[in-house]
Amino acid sequence: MTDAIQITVNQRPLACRAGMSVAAALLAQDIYQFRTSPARRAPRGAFCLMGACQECAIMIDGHIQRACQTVVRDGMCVVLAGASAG
Amino acid sequence: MTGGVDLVVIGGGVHGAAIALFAARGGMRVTLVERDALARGASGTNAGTLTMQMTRAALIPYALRAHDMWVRAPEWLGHDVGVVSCEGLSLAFTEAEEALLSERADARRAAGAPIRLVTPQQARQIEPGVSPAIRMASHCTIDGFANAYLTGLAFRRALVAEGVELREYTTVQTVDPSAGGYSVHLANETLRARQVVFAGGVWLEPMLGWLGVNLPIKTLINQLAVTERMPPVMRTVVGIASGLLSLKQYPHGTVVIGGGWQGIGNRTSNTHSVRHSSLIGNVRLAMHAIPGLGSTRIVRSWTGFEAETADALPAVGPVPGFDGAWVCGSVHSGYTSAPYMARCITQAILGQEPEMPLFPIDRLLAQPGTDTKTQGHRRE
Amino acid sequence: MSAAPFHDLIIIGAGPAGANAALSAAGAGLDVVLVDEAAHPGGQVWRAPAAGTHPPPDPDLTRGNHLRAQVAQAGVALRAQTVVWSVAATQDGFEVAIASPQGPELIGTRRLLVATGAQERVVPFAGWTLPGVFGLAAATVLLKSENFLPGRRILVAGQGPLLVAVAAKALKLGKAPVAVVDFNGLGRWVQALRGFVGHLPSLRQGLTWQAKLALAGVPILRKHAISRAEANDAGALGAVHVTPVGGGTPRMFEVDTAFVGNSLVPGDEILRLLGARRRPDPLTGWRIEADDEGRCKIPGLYVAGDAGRIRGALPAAAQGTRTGLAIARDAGCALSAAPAKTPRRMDRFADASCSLMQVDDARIAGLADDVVLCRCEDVTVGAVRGAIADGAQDANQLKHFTRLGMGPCQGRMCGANAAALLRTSPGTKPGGDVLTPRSPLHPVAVAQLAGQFDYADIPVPKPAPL
Repeated sequence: MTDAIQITVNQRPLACRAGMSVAAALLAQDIYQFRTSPARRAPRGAFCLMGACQECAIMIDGHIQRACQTVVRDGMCVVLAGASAG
Repeated sequence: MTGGVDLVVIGGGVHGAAIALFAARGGMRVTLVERDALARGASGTNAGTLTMQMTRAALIPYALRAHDMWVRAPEWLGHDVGVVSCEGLSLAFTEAEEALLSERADARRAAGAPIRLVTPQQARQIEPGVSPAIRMASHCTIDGFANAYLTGLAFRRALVAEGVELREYTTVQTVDPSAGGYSVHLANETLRARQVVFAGGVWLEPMLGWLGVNLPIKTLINQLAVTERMPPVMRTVVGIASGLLSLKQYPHGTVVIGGGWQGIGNRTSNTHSVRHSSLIGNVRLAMHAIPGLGSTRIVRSWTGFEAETADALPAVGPVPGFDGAWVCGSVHSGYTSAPYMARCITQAILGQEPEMPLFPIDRLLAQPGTDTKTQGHRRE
Repeated sequence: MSAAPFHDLIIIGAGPAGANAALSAAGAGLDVVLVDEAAHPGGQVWRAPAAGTHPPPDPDLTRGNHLRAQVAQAGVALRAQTVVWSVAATQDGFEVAIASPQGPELIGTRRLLVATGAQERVVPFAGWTLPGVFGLAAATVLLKSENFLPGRRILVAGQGPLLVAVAAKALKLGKAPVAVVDFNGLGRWVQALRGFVGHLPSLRQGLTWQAKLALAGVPILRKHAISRAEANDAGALGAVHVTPVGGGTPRMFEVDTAFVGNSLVPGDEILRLLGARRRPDPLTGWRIEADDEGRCKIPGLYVAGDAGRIRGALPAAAQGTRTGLAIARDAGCALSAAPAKTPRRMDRFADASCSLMQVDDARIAGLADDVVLCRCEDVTVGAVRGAIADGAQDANQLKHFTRLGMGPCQGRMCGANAAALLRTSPGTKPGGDVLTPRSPLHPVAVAQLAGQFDYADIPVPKPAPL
């Protein structure tokens, strides 16, 4: 059985399976845009999913962390800056 | 002297490039020779701080004039080097640092810097990002920073526009006096010039060695780090009493962390690298001063050489015994003062009276059997 | 932080190369620390599924599970979920800098093996930064760890063996790709077949995938490439335009997800930070200078697997074992067995794979000015061309002039492509096409770098002169 846990994304609750990466949890809900690029303010989402490209670096529990390398935790607080959820 | 130029400048850092620019504007035909590309050494890798609070008191009059030049860079350089003029704070966290801060603020104020001591409350009004743990701060209304990595691009455009012959990626083998001037020997070619300027940073010592002049130059390996772009956490240049921290946030959001923590390196092999323990110490100091940095990440750290003479004052003036040979460098807080030092020495090169006195190197030359350290006035 | 513990060998990267090297070196009697960012050994290719995920049987999963069991049983100190942010040479070896929520840690080692694998290289196109465009290898990561792919209308594009693998696995998940867009023509695949017979199970697997895609009616556009991507109303991927290589009428596909990848390049930053040099390699672009057993020219520094030269997982595993034994021998251990060389048929297989992933400089040189090259700083191809016209002759100058490579990925995404632009521009400095790597190797949290500390304990140097 899968363990269901809950995180918040821009203060909205999001149910996900324990063990997933934050990136996978967001993508599974069709949330593609994670942030905007700092120079041109262009929409950006996860890209390489192996920790190299830094496109999925977002504010997780108050620190900038890569969503693809961070495993969800019950009560985790995820902030997608400049992103329209979904 | 046929087929030569008026001036060959050896070293394309901010000193050499500015001298080449001003000399060309003064009517000279100038060639600039640089082993790498322009401003890729100390001039392109330093923290870009344009501050009075880390400048030696004796150099404050120069630094003030240079600060004004940097702010007006678009007028005389033709290009912006990302200069931001703002206020600056130097912090004290301990009683000992309070004493140090007061002493240093007094000396710099006496030299003309608009510095006053402020309470923690005042400091936090000036810079809301600063740590509540401070006991005192010194506040200077003239401070700021440039984007050092843009130096090479800016000077390159200006020098090309001014008709200076640029020889990048060109190594000088040696220089010797020749009839009515100097021969500058390259790998496959010899340049001739009436006058020559040595502006080689930490390599001034081997350069002057070509003429048999012994100018001891100490090599510092300064270490820097930068955060990724982040929302505003500070609006001033922040340092500490000892001078071993410099912090500022660029308009694009990155925070550069410096202060002269030492890396690992070697002038002879031209290699330098980051010392892990220095980076950790420097970052701790930064986070202690501006706690808001705790939410971001360090994306890069790097090192660069800084030249220092025995008395930690500049080597800017004629080479004794060699007419038409000049040295410019080792200017301690060199980036801040560079354009003004270059202006003054170029005036001398052009046969004019410099606006402000130069720093002749006679005082620094090592005589056989003399310990150069005993000549210094370094206070520590 | 001070009084660093000292080890015989630290291995960075617990993929096929690093983990196998750890097994052979520890087996020979060395004190080995194996460091990896992931929670479990396996690297990207043999990665462990996320907790609670049960992907279907797969040879890579089987190999990974076997490797994880071996590492667990061997006397290897595994430092999982550990990020190495820097390395430096010391008098008696190397200092490896680690950051964790507990703060910074500096570990000493006599010898260092870098087994950091490969990174994907993507040929940029207008719109490749849109949310919904992913790397091709990203798809394999999601499939292996989560048994999942995002999107409803998927397109797979690029080149190399991964194309068919990802498309077939998408099909199996019930997400038949709208199209597979292959830069290579059929002729290149036929040429490559001679090498692919070097590993028959993989060849059989590939042919089966092709057949399943054909049966499902998934169109494979050969000698085609994505020319640009368009955003939908929400600012994410809405459509891609696919154009025949060499020119022709574009076709548009409405998609919400595209997986694109062209090549693999060595993840060699640590090696270069320590002074190891790249050498040109006709097939893979470049390789790290090292001998047959993985010794770099820097004493005590070793490389194994794709970090040194792109060869793929099975050759990496074999090379890891060999390099682990070579290190043990160099350390004075008496060895019972001589290390085996990689079978030639495996080399031929690797050559064939690499031949399908080649990216000519001319392709990058042909990109339009408005294409973003450096994703972190939004530096376009046109801006890079402008900097070269302004006198930038090498990669580090490009960085200064444009901020290319100054962002958090530190040039990993743009470095190879910027190098191609430099190489194809007249007047640039030969051999100056590579960005100098810097510490930290990955962005490191200030809070982790600083850790817990007292102000009084910061070793502030003596004050600068007044």
